[in-house]
Amino acid sequence: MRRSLPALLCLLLLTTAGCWSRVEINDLAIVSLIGIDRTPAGEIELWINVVVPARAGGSPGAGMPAGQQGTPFISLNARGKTILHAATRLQRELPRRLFWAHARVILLGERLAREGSLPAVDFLTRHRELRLTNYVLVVRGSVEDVMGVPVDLERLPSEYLREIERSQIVPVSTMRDLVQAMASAGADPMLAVANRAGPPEGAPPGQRPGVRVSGAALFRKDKLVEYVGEEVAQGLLWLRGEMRVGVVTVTVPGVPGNISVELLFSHVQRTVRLENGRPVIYVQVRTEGDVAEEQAPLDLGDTAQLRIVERQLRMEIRERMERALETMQALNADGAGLGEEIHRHLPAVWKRMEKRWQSEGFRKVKVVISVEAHIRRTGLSSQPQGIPENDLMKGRE
Amino acid sequence: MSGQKTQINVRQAAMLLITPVTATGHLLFVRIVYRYAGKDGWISLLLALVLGGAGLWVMVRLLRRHPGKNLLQIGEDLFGATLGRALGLLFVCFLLYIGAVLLRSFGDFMRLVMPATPIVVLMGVLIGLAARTCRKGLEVIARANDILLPLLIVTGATLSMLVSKDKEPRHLLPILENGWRPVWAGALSLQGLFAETVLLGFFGHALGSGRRTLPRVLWIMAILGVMFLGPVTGPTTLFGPASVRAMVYPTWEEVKHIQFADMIGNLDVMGVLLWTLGSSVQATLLLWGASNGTAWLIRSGDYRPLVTPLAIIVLALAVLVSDHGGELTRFLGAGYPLLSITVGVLLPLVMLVWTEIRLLRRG
Repeated sequence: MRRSLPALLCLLLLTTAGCWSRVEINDLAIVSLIGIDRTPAGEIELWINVVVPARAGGSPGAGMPAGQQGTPFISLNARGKTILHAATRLQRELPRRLFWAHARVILLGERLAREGSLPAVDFLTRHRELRLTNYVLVVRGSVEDVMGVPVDLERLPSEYLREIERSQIVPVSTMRDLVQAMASAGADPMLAVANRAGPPEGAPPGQRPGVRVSGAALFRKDKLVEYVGEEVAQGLLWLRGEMRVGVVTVTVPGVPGNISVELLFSHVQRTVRLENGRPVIYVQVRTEGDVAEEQAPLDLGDTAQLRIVERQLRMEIRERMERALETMQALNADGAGLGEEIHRHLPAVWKRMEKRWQSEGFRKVKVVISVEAHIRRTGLSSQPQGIPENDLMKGRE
Repeated sequence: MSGQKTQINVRQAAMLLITPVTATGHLLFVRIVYRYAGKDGWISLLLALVLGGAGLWVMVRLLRRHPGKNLLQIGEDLFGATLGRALGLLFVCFLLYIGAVLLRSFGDFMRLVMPATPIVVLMGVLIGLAARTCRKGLEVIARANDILLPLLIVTGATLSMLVSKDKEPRHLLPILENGWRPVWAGALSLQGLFAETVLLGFFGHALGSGRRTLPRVLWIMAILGVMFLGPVTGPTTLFGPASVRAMVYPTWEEVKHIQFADMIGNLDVMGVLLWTLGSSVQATLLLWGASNGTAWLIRSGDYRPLVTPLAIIVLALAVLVSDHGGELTRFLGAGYPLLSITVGVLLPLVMLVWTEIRLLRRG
């Protein structure tokens, strides 16, 4: 008996793996995309995309038995008083248990976002299977517009949205960023925006509509205030200090043609100083890039001409930042978290102005933007190919 | 002690102290520090290290003055049989009580991960394992800990490094925004976890041997400081001070947050692993201390028959100790520090002072 006890215990291990809570993978309905919206009647509407494993493997359509073809996900929706209430209704129609741990992207419908996104946030932060790394986007229009749309290249819309967010060319916003900005007195959230893009004008019939991520949505605390376009969104990224890489296209006055600079490095420093008893926020940008395309007849091998492009680059970036700042202040939505900057640097001053920050403080705060931009290289050409030497502009300044 | 002489060395004794303090600290006390001190939690930690270090110094010093004896024996030497035994009973009850609180917190956490499993089963598995290890004796516990503690440290440090790219130190500013009061409150509650130095009174003779007390104390506190610095700053720098306040398991959220190179992620289970390993060593030690103490109190030569009944008592206490998670947190933050400072620091201090006075009288 003594000797067989360990063996018996080992056998027992096989039967007790995970105790009561064990769930087999083929009993799970894996949620890949979550959409939350509000109906006109005020109910919560929950949308989910559930992965259909049988259709998810291999290339779509190729060599699959009939009946298994189609999108590798299904879109479901239900209404309820809370998200979980709606989810429970969905669960009744599903033979498998909803499993949220692999959700990567969360979509907030416009109506919900405008009326207040707090009801969505609680579920998304409290549920043990969900994580704060999930990306959050606002859908311009109804969530439905984006949920069921098949996308190209990726199998799942969630994967598509996630990869685009990861590329960092659009505003990156995760649950963490959303909750953080909502909870702090000196910041407001800013989320990326997804919307349905119809097939291009005059496209051959049969071309599928797609999903596009562009611009940004500015919030005041939990409520969506306004959408802003690409350039303001980029200016906002600069102000937030999140701009890493990107392309800025400039023109030089008096010279025809555009020049695109690919930024490879950016550093944003935000400081706050007290001037005449009022805090002044300084945002200093330092960026470096390469000229990646030049349609203007400038010889960029020439330092003087390169300096002119650099100056234009500097002005362009500053202008974008200033426009973003004006937009934010006009909407009274502090998407760059400038209040937090005062809080961090001048806590005593912040204590005095904290209460009035949301009502008027942010609108009136002075922000000084300065940009330092360097062009380090010009790619494989120092001047545009195909232009005769004599046609190049020379000796300016 | 109790019949056969147990043999563990200085390093093992120190490691046996570090594991339980780390386990309870991360599972229970980190969120309490955040409740009080918020982003200044690391200052609370530094203060608590000084307080805890003082407590540890007192305990080691006491053991040195009474070579080869445990806390209960020392108590009886100092205060006579009756009073000494009463004091011993208090210490034993304290160990059982921390054991129950720890077990319950572990159960509450595991319930979150495995919602369908009854909490008694989750807690029963841990305390059952602890009881089995405990009966093997201190040397076995120490050797198991020799393997587990480095594993815990390496895993914890790796996880911490994986998430560090998402941390923003600027969230720690401004420092001392709300003054010292909340920081002290955080420090006093955090000091509660150092009350486990009482355990040393049961197995720490090795630490009391040899010459130098202070360097050893400083070493242990330095290691503990490093192990806690991550947990009291990480969640703030990751999630911002405002949202950490609402979190029940800030450090677990941190582990959940790991997304590295598009490949490493969903490491929630590593957090579960760390807490299970840490808690199991701690439960074992507490049970070992309580059963040895009881054995001494009833003048029994063998502590082993007492292990199972005490384990059952701890399990029952753990079921009864709180109604819901928030209640336990509130108590650990508000009432517990009083208890822990009394039993963990003041009583040993009184014993040390009394010892010194007696030594002086004798000349």
